[in-house]
Amino acid sequence: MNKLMKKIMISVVLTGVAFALYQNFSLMPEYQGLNEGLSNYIIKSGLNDTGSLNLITAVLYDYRAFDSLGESTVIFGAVSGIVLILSRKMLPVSSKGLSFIVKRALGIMTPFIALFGFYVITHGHLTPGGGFQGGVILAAISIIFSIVYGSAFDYRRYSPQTKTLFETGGALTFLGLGLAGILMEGAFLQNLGFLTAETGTLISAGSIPYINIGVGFKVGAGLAIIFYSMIQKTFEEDF
Amino acid sequence: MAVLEIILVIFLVFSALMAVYFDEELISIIFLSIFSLVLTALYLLHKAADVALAEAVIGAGLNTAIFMSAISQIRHGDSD
Amino acid sequence: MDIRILLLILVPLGTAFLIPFIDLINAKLRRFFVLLGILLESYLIISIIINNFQQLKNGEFFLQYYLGGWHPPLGITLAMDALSLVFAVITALSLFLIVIYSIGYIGHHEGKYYVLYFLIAAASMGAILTADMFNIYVFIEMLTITSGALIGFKRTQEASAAAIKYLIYNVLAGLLFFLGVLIIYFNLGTLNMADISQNFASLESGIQLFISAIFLTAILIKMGIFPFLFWLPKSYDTAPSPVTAVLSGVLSKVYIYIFIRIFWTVIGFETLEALNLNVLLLDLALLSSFFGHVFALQSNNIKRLLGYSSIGHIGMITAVIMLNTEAGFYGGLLHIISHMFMKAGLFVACGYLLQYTRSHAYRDFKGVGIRNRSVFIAFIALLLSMIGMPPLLGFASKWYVLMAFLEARSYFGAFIVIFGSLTAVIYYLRYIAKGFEEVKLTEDDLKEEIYSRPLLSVLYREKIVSFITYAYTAIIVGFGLGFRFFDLPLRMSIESLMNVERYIELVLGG
Repeated sequence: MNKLMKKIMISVVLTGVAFALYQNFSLMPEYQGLNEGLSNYIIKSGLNDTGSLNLITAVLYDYRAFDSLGESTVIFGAVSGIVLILSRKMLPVSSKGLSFIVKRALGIMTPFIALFGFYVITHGHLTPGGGFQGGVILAAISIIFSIVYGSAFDYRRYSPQTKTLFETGGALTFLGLGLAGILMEGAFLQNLGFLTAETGTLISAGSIPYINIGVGFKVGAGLAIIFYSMIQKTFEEDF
Repeated sequence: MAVLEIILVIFLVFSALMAVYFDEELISIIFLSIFSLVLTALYLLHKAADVALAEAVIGAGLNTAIFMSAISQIRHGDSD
Repeated sequence: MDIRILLLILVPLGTAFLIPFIDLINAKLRRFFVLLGILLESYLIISIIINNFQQLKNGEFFLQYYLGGWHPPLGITLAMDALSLVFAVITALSLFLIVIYSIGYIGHHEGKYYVLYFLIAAASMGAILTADMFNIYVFIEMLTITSGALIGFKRTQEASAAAIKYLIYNVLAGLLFFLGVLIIYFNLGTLNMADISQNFASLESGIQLFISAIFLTAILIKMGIFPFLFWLPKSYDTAPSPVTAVLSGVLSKVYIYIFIRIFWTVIGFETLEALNLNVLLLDLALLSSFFGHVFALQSNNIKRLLGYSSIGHIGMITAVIMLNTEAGFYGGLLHIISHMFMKAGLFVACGYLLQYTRSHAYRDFKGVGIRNRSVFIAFIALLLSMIGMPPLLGFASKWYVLMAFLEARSYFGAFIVIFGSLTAVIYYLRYIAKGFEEVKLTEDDLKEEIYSRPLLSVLYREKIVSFITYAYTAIIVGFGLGFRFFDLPLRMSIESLMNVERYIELVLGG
């Protein structure tokens, strides 16, 4: 009975919130397409300004790169917090992994997943995707290793120290490119002019691909660390 | 196009409600994963490929794995 | 384009990024590295003040930085006016004192602790300096995640439960904030605060109400005002003392800053008045203050009691700011400063005093004052300042708050201020009396005591910790005598707060 009451209460509250949201969204003006405000400017001159064919990447890593730095820092903080809370003084517990067939099949597939991840990261300025998405795909490899081959395998292949190194390396790459922007162009995270090339080629769009690579490593390693500390008791990292 | 969108939105709401409704964590997680998948399709329908990719990878892929590992820890009950 | 205000954010951020590297090289270097980072931060703040002192005096102080070289409204802008300067200075000072305290206090997992600590420092500086709505959301998210992790730092069951409760409330608040930002972008097509402020009045009043209500709910949850205060005492209780000092001394003040920035600069107080939200909010804040003090009366746990008293004080600050008079701002800002130092000092002192006790409960407070006499005297001084004893800083700020309420003829507010002081006398004196109670230690107690001191085993650590407590007391006493010191910065910040047009002009045109 109590449970039912709780559910009814929750549904009443949710319906109320949904109604309020609907009421207010219906007040809003019709969406006027992309003719107004910033989006118009970005669509018109985004390619010229940044050299990135993918305008979303142009916004994320050029116009509003500082937000991306903040967002990847959120992941960095979350990783630190989870490692802090979950790490305990215990030996790693390892499972034996799944059956031979699964291991073989994924052994063949894993390189292609990695390739796809790197493709998404490095082609962030040309096709959909970018550092965040590609990084998560790379983290999936580590997750597959832990599930299919057992966590000890993952530990031996990529120890937490290596992952931490990748993570902080990615973060520092981002920060370093920003500081290079100050030195060479005059503003933090300004696109580096000397790196621009013909639009549409792999190495173009200034510092955007390099920021993507940094974010990719950072996110990938960070999420792998999160998953790793959740599936098992890790070693105490520091005392 | 519009019909497809309405169907997808209905599916979206349905899977969200189901995820809340069930007490069993596993079923909730699977419905959340379905939710992300439907959301990915919706994003694609609105030509937001970047967001769709992120949603597919994070929502349907990584979140599910992390939630699964979390409930496996709850099941064993060895949280000292 | 002044690069120093960018570096105010980047220095703690870089420190946080580099700490794992330093750990891999040599963990002993970490402590010096942390000190280096915080000293650099203080140097930046001091150099900003000294170089711009003349402008500050003339009321022309304004610095900004265009990130990525994109001018507003296209890119992200960092802007610092007198109000941000005041908040940045007191935040940096608090962070400086608490990091030194942490060097003495935190005994395990120091690497991750400092990473999270410096991320909090970077995020609070960022939230204070930014002039962009989405950017402020990013920094709020950063603050939430890092502080949530630090609340669970002790890794006991209680701490984890408190951390999860904190995260649920605060992530929800963050999402509401994000929804508000989205709706603003959808309607106005811009994210720059000055640009939004310019165009906000052109929106329909229904949408204005919706946006204001969403931001209000989000920030009230974050500040811990009445209907949403239930996460606060628990997380204050279970977090380690320096973290609690940060939560109460830095985070709640940063949220008050965001509150002021959004409701005065972005949305505008006239809009709130037109929507009749200001009266509601004033009463809600006063009610919250009342409840905070009442809950504090029945609390049997010193840290939880201080948490409830924080609710009382923050409610009072919010109410006095909501009066929207010059006197109200003066009292409110002065009380923000004094509460920041008093509360952080109290939690810091608590961390020292409660290191040998089994729990934070009232009965375990017995004899605490006799064992650490000098620190306990500092603790009493801080408590008296909380109550509002005349020569201390708490008196000056409470006096101005009271005067502001009387001037605005808000007698309920004036009643709340006096009620708070009177109840504070009751609930603090209880603890002071308990602290001086004689206690006879049995053999077992002594043994337990020796085992239960993993934190402050080394002598110099204890010295550092007590030194910071004395430093806080010195600040309270010193500025209590010379509270006119804050006169110039407060008047300048009120001027820049009231003059929204100038802010818009400077951000968009400068």
